[in-house]
Amino acid sequence: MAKTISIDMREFEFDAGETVLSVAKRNGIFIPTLCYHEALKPYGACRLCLVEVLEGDKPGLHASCLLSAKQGLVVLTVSDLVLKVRGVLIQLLLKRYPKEKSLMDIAKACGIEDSISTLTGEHQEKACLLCGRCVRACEEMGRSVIGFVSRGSERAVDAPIGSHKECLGCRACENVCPTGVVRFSLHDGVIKNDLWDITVDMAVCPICGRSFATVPLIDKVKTELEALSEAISMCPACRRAELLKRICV
Amino acid sequence: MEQDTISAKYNELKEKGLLSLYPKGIKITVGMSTCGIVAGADKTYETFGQGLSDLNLEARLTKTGCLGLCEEEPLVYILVEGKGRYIYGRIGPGDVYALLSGLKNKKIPKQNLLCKVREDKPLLGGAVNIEELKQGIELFEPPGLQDIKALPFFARQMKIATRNSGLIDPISLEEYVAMGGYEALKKALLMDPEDIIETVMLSGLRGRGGAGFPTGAKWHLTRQSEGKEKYVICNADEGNPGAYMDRSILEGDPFSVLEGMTIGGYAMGAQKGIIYLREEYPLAASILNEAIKRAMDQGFLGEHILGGDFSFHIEVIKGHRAYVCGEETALIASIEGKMGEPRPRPPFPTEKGLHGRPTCINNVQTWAYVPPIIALGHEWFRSIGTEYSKGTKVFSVVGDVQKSGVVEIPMGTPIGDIVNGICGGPGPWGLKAVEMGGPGGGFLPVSLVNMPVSYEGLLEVGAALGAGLVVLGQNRCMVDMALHFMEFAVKESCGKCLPCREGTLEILRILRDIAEGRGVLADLRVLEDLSTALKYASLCGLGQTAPNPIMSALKYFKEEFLAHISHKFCPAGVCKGLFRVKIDRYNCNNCGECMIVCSNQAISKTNNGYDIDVIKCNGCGNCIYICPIKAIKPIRNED
Repeated sequence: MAKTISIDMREFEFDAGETVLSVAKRNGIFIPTLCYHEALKPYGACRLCLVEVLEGDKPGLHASCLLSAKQGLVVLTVSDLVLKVRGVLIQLLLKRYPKEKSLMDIAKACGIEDSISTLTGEHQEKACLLCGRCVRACEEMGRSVIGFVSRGSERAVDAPIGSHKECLGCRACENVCPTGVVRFSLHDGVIKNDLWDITVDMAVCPICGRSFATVPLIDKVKTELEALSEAISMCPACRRAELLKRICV
Repeated sequence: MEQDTISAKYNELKEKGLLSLYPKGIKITVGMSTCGIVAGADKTYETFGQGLSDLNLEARLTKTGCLGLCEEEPLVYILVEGKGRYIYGRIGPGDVYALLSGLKNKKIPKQNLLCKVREDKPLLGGAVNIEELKQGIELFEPPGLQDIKALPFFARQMKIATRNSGLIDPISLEEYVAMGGYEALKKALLMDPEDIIETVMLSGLRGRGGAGFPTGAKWHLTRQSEGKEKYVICNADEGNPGAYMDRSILEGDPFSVLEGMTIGGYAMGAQKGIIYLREEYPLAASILNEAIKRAMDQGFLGEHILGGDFSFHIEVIKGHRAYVCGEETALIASIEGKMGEPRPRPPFPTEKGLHGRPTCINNVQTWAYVPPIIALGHEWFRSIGTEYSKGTKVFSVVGDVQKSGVVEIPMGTPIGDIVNGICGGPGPWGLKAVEMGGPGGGFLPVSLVNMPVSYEGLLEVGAALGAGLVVLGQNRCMVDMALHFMEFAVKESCGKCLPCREGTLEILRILRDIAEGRGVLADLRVLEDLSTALKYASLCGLGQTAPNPIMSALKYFKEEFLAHISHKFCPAGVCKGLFRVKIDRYNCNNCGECMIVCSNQAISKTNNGYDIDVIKCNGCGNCIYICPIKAIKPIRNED
């Protein structure tokens, strides 16, 4: 018999190693998330995905992105406590970043309009929500170029002195950023990130002369996959053309 | 090593230790822990050295740790062979020559003399009756001397973790052994590791860091975890405001912690111990490093301890000024060279700790309890304390109290006994509250102050056991105190999880509003909501307990918050702008103290007594607290 957990009084099967969040998502149960991303290891810092455990683990609120599903676990994604705490957390975020669109989407999905917020504070227009996705993406896939700096309310994401040069330019950070504040833009021959003051050289295709990937990224592929070292120097279009030429001739 | 050889080694060390503890003639000892040095003990020590050679007096001059009576530092102990040990308080360099010339004239000077010790009763060794020691020196002793046991400060204490502090030279291994030290290690190495864990488990010892997890269970989990390499860590990152009992133990008796860790290492199968020491404790660091060196030289640490198969090393690693690194997962991250941030548990450190290996982290006091438990057995330890809280607890008592210091009392002692009985009460202003557990604890009002000290009891009323005891007099404003603790939480939040990073900041903002007269009634509800969110949603203990001070202040002192909000009035006369001062001319005795203390020369003498210039007054409140008969009172601005 397959193992099941109970979410909101309904039974769901789960696979070994699965988290409560993943079971809920798979079955269309809404749990808000911010720091969670499918491609990254769970971090459990935004606390938006809290669910209330009734049985099967320590009773109370747990971050569902880290809570392993196990037989006999009974959780609620909507309880008085969950709604109250979740509401405060989202209001805290809204207070700090009142104009951030991705945040408004989350608030809306949770049924929280920013007008009902009783919290009033200094309005900071800053779009980094400190979810840490970019930092973890760089740690897991890149070269740990960026990290958190300072403590508490001064916490920020930055590239410490000297680590700028290490950046591969893989742009995984940009890809996982929920708000779009992490952005690389292409200038002549380089990609630039103004937030962390990172510049990475672009490689030029020897055939068509187009910039298509960053130099360190190509170097990395070359060292790791020697067989591809010739093909990777070309841009995808020229690579296809070259391949076609070789097949046909 | 054969047991006979070990016994011979112990006897030799013991003999040396007893000789330096109770030498012939006169021995002068200065309390040289941080509390002593801050009061000027280093100068006193130097002056004694100078004075002894100047007056050509023959005496041994030594150092010791903190006896606990920090209010009376620098403490000086004069041991006279065959007479007793005389304890002097507040001996500055200026008092040294008077003391020495008294001794030279064959008299025990009476000035600053606190008490006399006639007999030492080491917990782990035989009693030493100093008065009967061989042939004594003839000295005149002033009559009617109080015995140390008659002093209220010591009478109710029970010293287990602080058994050697203020008695032995902290870095003298010989003196530690003479006091019964390392007997427990000798015994433990002959025991089965499982039996040691069983003993610790049966003793009922719980973590003294505050959370109160059963120590034996933690050891058991670490031993059960798979892995060849394991670590034991001593958490000495003591960062609670006003708490310094761990420092006192480390500086006064480092070997007891080292011995406890070595026994723990043997029981859990660990090869390495780490003392994670707060960076602000440089003296403790040098004392620990010296103690480790000496223990290694004598074979109590390092390879093949006492000639057996067990090898164990201890290293001191300094923290980097972050309160959150006292949280075990953040502590591990810090040792690994990562950012000192907590990570979610499970996995718990007992399973995956330092470098991914099973790790047992215990507090300084917890380790210091281990040798006595092993040496005297679990039944002895179980016999002390309450049903769920066994043994004793060390507190540093600070704040509005007559005799601040480090006290050790059996669990179950009423808090009021510590504050009023041992430490002499809060002084003229009377008791308002006792803060227990630091930024993660809470305020206990006078009505709860007679409750017994125990994990279970304190948890129920919203306080905690981990930190020291901060005594607050009636002159303290609870809004101001809650604000103070919240400022600490904001400053020390690592910022990783959202509730703690943003929530503490928001609570602080609201508290500031209330303290500065901008509060509205709805704030109280928001405070409660924020506190709930922090309590349930934060990632680590720091965030989960950060709202405790404000929650307990709101629970027990709500009327003070309401006075700040509704009447814009601070009844204690602390929050600036929310009160004005009035001299009660009818009661005033015209002493003029208020005029002297006024920071803005707003008080002047008139024909009818003293008068306050309302415009000049900047609301510092100094006059309220200096007035010996409480004739100056804070009143509402509009009254």
